[in-house]
Amino acid sequence: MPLEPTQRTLNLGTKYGPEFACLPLKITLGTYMEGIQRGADTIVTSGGVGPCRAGYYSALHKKILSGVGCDVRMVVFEPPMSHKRDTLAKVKMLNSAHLSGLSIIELLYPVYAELLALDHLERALRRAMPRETVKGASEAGYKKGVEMVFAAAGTRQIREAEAEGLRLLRSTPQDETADPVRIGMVGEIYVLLEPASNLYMERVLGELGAEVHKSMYLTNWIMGNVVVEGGGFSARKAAAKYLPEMVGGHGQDSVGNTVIYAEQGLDGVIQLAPFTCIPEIVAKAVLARVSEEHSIPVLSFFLDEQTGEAGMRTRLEAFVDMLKTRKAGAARAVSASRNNKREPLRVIS
Amino acid sequence: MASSLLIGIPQSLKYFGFSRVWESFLAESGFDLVYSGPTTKDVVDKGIECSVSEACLPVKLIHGEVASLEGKVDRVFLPRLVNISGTTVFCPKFLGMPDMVRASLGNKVELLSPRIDLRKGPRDVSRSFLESVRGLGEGGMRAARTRLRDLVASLRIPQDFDAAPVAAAATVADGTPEDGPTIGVLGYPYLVENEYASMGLVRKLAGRGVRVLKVPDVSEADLASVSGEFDKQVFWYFSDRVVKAGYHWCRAGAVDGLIHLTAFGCGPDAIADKLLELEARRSGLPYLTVSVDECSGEAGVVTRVEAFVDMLTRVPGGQRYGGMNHNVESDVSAYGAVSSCSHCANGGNGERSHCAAGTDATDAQPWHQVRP
Ligand code: SF4
Ligand code: SF4
Repeated sequence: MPLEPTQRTLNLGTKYGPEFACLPLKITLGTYMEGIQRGADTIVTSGGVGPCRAGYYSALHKKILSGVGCDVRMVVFEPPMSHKRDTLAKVKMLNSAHLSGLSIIELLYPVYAELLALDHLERALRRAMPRETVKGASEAGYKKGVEMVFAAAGTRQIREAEAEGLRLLRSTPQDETADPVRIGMVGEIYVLLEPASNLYMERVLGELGAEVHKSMYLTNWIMGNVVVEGGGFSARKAAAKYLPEMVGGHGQDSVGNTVIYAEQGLDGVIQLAPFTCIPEIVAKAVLARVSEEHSIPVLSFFLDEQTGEAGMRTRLEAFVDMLKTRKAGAARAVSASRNNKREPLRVIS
Repeated sequence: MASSLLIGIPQSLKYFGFSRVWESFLAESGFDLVYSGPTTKDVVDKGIECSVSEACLPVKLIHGEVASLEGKVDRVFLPRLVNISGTTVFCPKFLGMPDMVRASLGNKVELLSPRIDLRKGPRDVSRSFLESVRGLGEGGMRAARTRLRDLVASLRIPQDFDAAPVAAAATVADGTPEDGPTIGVLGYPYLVENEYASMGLVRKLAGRGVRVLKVPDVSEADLASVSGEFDKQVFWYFSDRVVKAGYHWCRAGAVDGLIHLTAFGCGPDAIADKLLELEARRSGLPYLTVSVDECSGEAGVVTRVEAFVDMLTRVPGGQRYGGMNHNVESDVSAYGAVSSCSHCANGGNGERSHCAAGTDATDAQPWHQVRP
């Protein structure tokens, strides 16, 4: 099983992968190479059909790997709903232990429960962090919860570990009166979900006193793409006025989720994407119009191996400060208007 | 008869190889047409001003071309290019181009953006064309309607370029010295055919006695002949043709070297360039990547191209090198080094911008420290 990506993984991917490849392509290439070095002879990966580059990764990786002399067997799962026969054939090929269909599903069930538990713990952490009165307490509670979930075996134990973790998180001393700025995070799924690739941005935002709302968690992505293809209907519908075309990746979702966040009254949105990510570049251009028409500030980050943490932190600090002053300004406007009974400002509720 | 509407078309669209479809349809619908004109520094500056910094040069050019038409035309024709081959789609930036332009220039120009997606069949494309001009057309609409169906069907057959500054054939016929090397120039038409953006690459090569071959010179049959080489067809229309042209030249031994002209930060070329580089290496063909953006200095291109041509010329008869792949990578745009960029005043604002002028070098710390 692949390890968490590290600097070494990225160096490998950057060395052998194309310079302008997006971060996920480089990291996955580095992960394969590390796996091969640890003796793996088969790579199981996902395919895709475009229009963005993800779907072509496997074909390119294969050529690069054979170019450096490691001809490894690659099993590429194309989107199952549109490649049913192909998917079943590959499951059978990999199913050397000849597990029955039912037992495979039984195997998958706890894995999914575990992912669900991790997502729930993370959401609870994002809510607790800006309200904590003891610095780092929620982080510690979250880590404890994650450890318990990993230690649990079987769905029931995982559920118990999750409940215990959530209780721990909620019991950390918090200032319930706090009204932190709420920031929605949109963008490309890899850098949204892999904290190592976005320089632990959610933690930095939590430390700056912001409550982070992520538009995508692995579990709702799995439900979205694997089970129901193109599952992000509501985001795509919300994006229709600004970006009606499917531009690949999560470009449309970034736009739609920003519209939804604006309507939900969040204070700002951060767009995250790997450098040269095509759909997110289209989205960034369109988000300028969404930001103006829905008066919600949007900050975009295009990340790659040279993105510096210091630079990122300073931009985040400036953004959070701006949102705080904007939120305070809006609150003052409401109380002022209430006092002299004038038509209240259109306040973001 | 009221004077007919004037429709402006961004210059880059002229080089797409099927511009005659919309030129005929719009002309026969009674509109007057005008292209935005060859690229100038002013068009590039306008493009930079109204597009996101991460956009590639061609996207910035189209934004600049649309901006330069502001106030001079009644509508700007900017189609949503999705699919004209039935299989390969256009780069996602073209899929979203009308929305990107509308986001920054929406209140200044009115766009005509029919959706061109042949996967849904010619009738859908025709309907989309007619829809886009509804209420604007002159008397000629009926005539245009009947011709439209076969015009749309002809989308599949790329036309040759009448707009090419130096038609490849001219370089071959006009007495180029017999032993001059032949170079295959790979790249998207809206870059290779754009004199400003390509810094006159083709013209300069021809001027140095090089016989230049371009992607449109490769027949459809030759392109198809190499499709077996790929586990998967490259997704994007132009990238698929560029990669196949490169593979064909490697196979047919038709060239002594390959130059790939690519835009800095181009998404599809991250894949296309690597496929071409690996193939050139496998065939022992010298391969040069020239990556350009709005900060590219012409001097940089000239010196590297000349070095490449010299290297090919020094070997008598320009025959192939066994395995020696003169793979001069590194991009020309002084990326990574401080460059005095005439176009963009912005220094790096923490976020790595294409133009590294002013980026704080200490900022580029190791990508990831594993937190305890
Ligand atoms: S969505 Fe962006 S990062 Fe992901 S594969 Fe496509 S271009 Fe690369
Ligand atoms: S293919 Fe490359 S150069 Fe062309 S529009 Fe897309 S990203 Fe830009």
